Amino acid sequence: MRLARSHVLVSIDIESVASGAWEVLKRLKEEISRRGLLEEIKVLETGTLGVTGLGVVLAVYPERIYYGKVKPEDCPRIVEEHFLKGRPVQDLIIKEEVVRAVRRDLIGPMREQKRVVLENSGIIDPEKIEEYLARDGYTALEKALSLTPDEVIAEVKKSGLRGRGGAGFPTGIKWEGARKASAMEKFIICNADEGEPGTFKDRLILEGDPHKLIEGLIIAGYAVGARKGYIYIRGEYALSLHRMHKAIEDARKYGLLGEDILGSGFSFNLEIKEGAGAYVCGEETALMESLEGKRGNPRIKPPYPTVVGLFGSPTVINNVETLANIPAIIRKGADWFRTMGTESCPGTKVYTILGDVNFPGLIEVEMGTTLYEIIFGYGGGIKGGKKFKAALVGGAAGVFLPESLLNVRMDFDNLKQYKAVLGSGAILVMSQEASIPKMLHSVLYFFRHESCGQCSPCRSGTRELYRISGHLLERKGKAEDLNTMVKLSEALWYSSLCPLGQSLIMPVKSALENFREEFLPLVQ
Amino acid sequence: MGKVRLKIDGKEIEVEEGKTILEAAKEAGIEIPTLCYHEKLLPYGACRMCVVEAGPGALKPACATYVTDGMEVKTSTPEIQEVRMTVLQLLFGERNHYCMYCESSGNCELQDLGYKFGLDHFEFPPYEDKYPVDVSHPYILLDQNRCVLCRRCARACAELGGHFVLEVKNRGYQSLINIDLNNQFAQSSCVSCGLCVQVCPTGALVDKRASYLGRKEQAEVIKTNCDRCPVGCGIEVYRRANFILKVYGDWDSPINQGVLCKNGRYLPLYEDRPRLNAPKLKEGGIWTQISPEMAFKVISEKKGAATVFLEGSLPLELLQAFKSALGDRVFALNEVNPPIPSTATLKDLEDADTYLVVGVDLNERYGVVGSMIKRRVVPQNARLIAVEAGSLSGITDFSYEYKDIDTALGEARKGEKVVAVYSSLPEGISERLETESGFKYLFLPYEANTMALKELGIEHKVPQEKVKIYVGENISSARSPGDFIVAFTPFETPELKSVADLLIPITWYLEDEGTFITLEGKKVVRQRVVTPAEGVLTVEEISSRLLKI
Repeated sequence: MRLARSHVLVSIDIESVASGAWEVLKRLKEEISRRGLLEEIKVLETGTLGVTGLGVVLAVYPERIYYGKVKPEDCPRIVEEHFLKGRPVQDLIIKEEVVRAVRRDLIGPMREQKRVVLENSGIIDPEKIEEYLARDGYTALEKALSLTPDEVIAEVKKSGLRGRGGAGFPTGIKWEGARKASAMEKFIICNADEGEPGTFKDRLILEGDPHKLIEGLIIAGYAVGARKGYIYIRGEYALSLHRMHKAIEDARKYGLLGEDILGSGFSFNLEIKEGAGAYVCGEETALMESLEGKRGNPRIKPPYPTVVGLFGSPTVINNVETLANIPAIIRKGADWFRTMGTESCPGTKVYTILGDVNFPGLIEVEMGTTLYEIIFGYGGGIKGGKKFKAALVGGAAGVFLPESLLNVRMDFDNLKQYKAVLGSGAILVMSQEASIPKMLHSVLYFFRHESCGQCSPCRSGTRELYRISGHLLERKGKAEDLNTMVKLSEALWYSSLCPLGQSLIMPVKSALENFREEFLPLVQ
Repeated sequence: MGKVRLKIDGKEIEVEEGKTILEAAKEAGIEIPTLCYHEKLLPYGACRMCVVEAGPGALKPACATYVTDGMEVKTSTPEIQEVRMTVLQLLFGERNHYCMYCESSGNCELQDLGYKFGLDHFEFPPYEDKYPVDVSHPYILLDQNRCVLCRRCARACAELGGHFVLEVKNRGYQSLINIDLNNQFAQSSCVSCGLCVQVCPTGALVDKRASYLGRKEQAEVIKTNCDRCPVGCGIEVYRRANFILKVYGDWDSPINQGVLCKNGRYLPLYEDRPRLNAPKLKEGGIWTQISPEMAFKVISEKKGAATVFLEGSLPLELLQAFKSALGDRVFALNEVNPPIPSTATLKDLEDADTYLVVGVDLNERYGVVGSMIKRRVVPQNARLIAVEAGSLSGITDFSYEYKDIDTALGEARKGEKVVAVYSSLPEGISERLETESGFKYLFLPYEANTMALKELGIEHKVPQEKVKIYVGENISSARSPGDFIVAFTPFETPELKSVADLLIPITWYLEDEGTFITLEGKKVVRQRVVTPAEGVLTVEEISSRLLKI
C-alpha cells in the first residue's frame, strides 16, 4: 500500500450530517477521483472533530488545517486549490484560535486536553474495527480475560473510577455487588439514553469510538459474570445506533463478541435497545422497565439493580463514559489512571460547553479542572466580550453557579460543598444579558414535560412550579411565591420517587439563592 | 422466617422479616396515612403520602420499603408532616376535588386525608383543565377529573383480575387512565368485573347504578355469598332501605379474596324480566290471579300424575322440600353429573404451571375462576392451553379446536403441574381428557347448586310427561295437547306464559336465605338481604305448603 500524501478527515456526527456532511463527502470523493488524486489523497469518515456550530468540518493532515462550514460546491475549489496546487482555501479555514480551543493537543503549544475516553474520537474511522485495533483496541479485553474476574474488579476499584452518569458511585463497588449476588443470570446495561438538555458527550463517544464502549462492556460482563449486555440508546441518536450496530457486527466477526471470546471460554452477547424519547428512561430503573417492554416508570429502590435488576436478575448499569474508561484502566493500570484527576475522583471528565461562549464544543479534561478554566480557557470566554453571569452546570437537573464560584474545582466531592453536581457534564454558560428567571422557567417547563406522572409530588409539583414561575414572568407573582417555590422543591426532594423529581431542588434553589436580586423585582 | 428488630418512633419492636415499614408500624399500633396503598395489591409507593424517615437522604415510602435489622424509623416528625401536607395540597389542587358534588363524598380516601390533615383551603389554585369522562360502559363511570392517579384500578385489573385492560397513558400531569389501547370503555376488552370501582379511593370510578342513591354511611353492608354460580364468592351487599345499592367482593372471603365477575356484581342488579307477584292460573286462555291456597290445591289434584323438574340454581332447602314431598318423581332439569369428576380445588389454580381449559368461556360463566387463571397466565407465570375456550383463547398462543385435542393434550403434558378446567364436554372429548394420569381435574358445575342436586341424589331427565312442574328462573318448555304445565318461578316472561297453565311466584337472588354447595363441596349460605314483594312465596312457605299436599 502506498502512503498517501494527505488525509482528509470528514466529521460525521449528527450536527454535520444535518449540515450536509454526506453530500460533502460524496462530492469530495468525486472531485478527488476526477482529478486523479485517489492514490494521493485519502478521505476518511470520522467522529466529531470537537468543533460544534460550524457545520461540516474537515481536517487535513499532515497540514493540520481545519475547514469549516464546507458545502458540496466548495469541494472542487478545495481539491483544485489545496490538494492539486498546495494552496489551502483561506476563506474556509477555521480560525486557529477556535481549533486551538478544542484541539490543543493537535495544534497548540498551550495546555492540552487529557484524552482517555476520547483518545480515538476524530482520529479513527469509527466504522472500521481495524482502525480501533490498530490503536491498541481490544488489548484490554485480552488482558482482562487473562485475569480472574475478581482481579479485574480489584483493578477497577483501585483505579477509583466513579460513575460518570452523574451520581459518582464507585464503579468497582457496583460491580462487586453484582458479582457477589448469587443468581442464574446477570446483566450488564450501558445507559446511553442521554436526554439531559445541553448534553451530548455520550453521543459523541458512541459516534466517535463505538468499539471502546463494546470493549468496556465485555470486560464489565466478564467481571460481574454476565453473559448478556444491553445498550439502551436514545432513539433520536440515529448515527449512534447505526455505528453501534455496525461495531457489534464487526466485533462478532472478529470473535470478540459471542461464544468463547478469544478462546477464553467466556461468552458474551450484546443487544441494542432504542429508547423512545422519554427523559425519565435515563433513570436506571425506568430504563430497565422500558427494556423489559413496559412503560418506563421508575422503580422503588431498594432493592438496587445489582440485587434485583433487569428481569429480576442482578444487573450492573453504567453510563457510556464510565464504560469507555474501562479499557484504558485495564490496559494501562489503575496507578496510571490515578495520576490524573483528584484523590477522590481520579481520571478525566468529558464536558460539553455551550451557551454564550466563543467556542462551544466537547472537551475532556482532568477531574478537578476549575470551572474558570473550562469556560475561559477551553470555551474561549464569553461571546462578544460580554460579562459572565452564570453557568448551569450538570444539565437541567443542575445548578446555576454564579461568578463567585468560578474557581471551584470540578469533581464530585468538591462540588457537593456548593450544593452542586457534575451531573451530565453539560456546562451552559450565560452572559450578563441572560435572564435567570426565564432560564429557570424553561428548566421547569422541561421537568413538567418530562415527569413520568407516577408519583404525585413530581407529577403535580412540576406543574405547580412551572405555573408559579410563569406568573412571576408575567409580573403576576406575589412575594410569598418565591418561598412557595423553595418549599415545593424541598417537598419534591424529600418525597419524590426517583431522582427526576428529587433533583429539581438544585436549579430552583440555586437560582433563587444565587440570583435572588433578579427575582425580587418580579414580585414587587 | 427470621425476625427483625427495629425502632419506630422510639418504640422497639420485633416483626417478621419481609414486612414493610407500614405493616410493622400497624403491628405497633402506629398509623401512617396512605392513599395508593391497598392491602390486596403489590406495594406501589407512588402517592408518597406514607413517606417516613428511615435513614439518611430522601424520605422513604412506608408501604414499599421493607424493614431491616436495626432500622430506625420516624413516622411523624413536623418535617414529614409538612411534606405530606404539601403532597396532599398538590393532590387536591391537581384536578376536580370539590367534594360536595362527588358521588364518593363520605366514602373517599382523599377526603378522609383532607380531614385528617385539617385541610381548610386550597393552597394551590385548583386546576380548571377538563379531562374526559367516559360514560360509555353500561355499569361503570370513569371520571378522569376526580382521579388521583394512584393506579389502584389498573393494578387490581392486572394483579387480581388478570384482565390487563386498564393502564396509564400520557405523561406527567397529563397522565390519564387508559383503557386498552386508547379505547372507550364500552368498546374495550373490559369484562365488567368491577374491581376497578371497588378499589378506587375517590370518585373517579363509580358504579353507575348506585350513584347518588345514598352514601356509605346511609347503607348497611351485609356479608354473604353470591348464588350466581357454583364458585360461591363472598360478597358485601350495600343495602339502603329495601334496595340493593351495589355489590362488592368480600376481601376476607377465602374463596375469591375480593374478586368478582360481571354475573356476581352487576347482572342481577340489572335484571329486567317482569316479576311474578302472585299465583296465576290460565283458564280458557285467560290468566287470572288466584290465592296460594288455590294454587296448591291444583297441585294437590295433579299430584298423582305430576313430575317435578328442578333447576340447579335453587337453594338446597327448596330442592329438599320438593324431594321430600314428591320423592322419586323429582328430577333435575339440567345435567348434573360431571364428565370427569373433580380432583382439584381452587387452591390448585394458585401454583399450577399449565392450565388446560376445555369448552368453557370462563370470562362469561365463571369469571372469578377466569381471573385466577388469567392473572398467572398473562404475566407468563403459567401457560394456558385453550380448547374452544371462547374469549380466553385470545390471551394464549396455544388455542385449539376440538379436532386438535391431541395436539392440545401434548402441549399440556409439557407442564409439571397441569390443571384441566371444564364444565360440560362433548362426546369423545371427555374420554380423551380423563386418561391423563398427571393432570388434576377441576369440574365447573353447570349451575350454582348442581352439587346440591348431586348430594340429594336427584338425577337429570328430559321432561316428557303430560303433567310437569318446573321450578327455576330460566324455564322454557315445549307443549303438546293435553299437557298441564306448572312453573314455580320468579319471572313471568311472555314465553313462559305462552306454554304454562299455572305460575307460582318464588323468591329470587338475595330475597331469601338458602344454602348452596360450591364446586369444592363447601356449604355456603346466601343471606336474605331484601324482603320480597308481597305475594311472593318464600322457601319456607313453599316447604310448609308442600308438606300438606
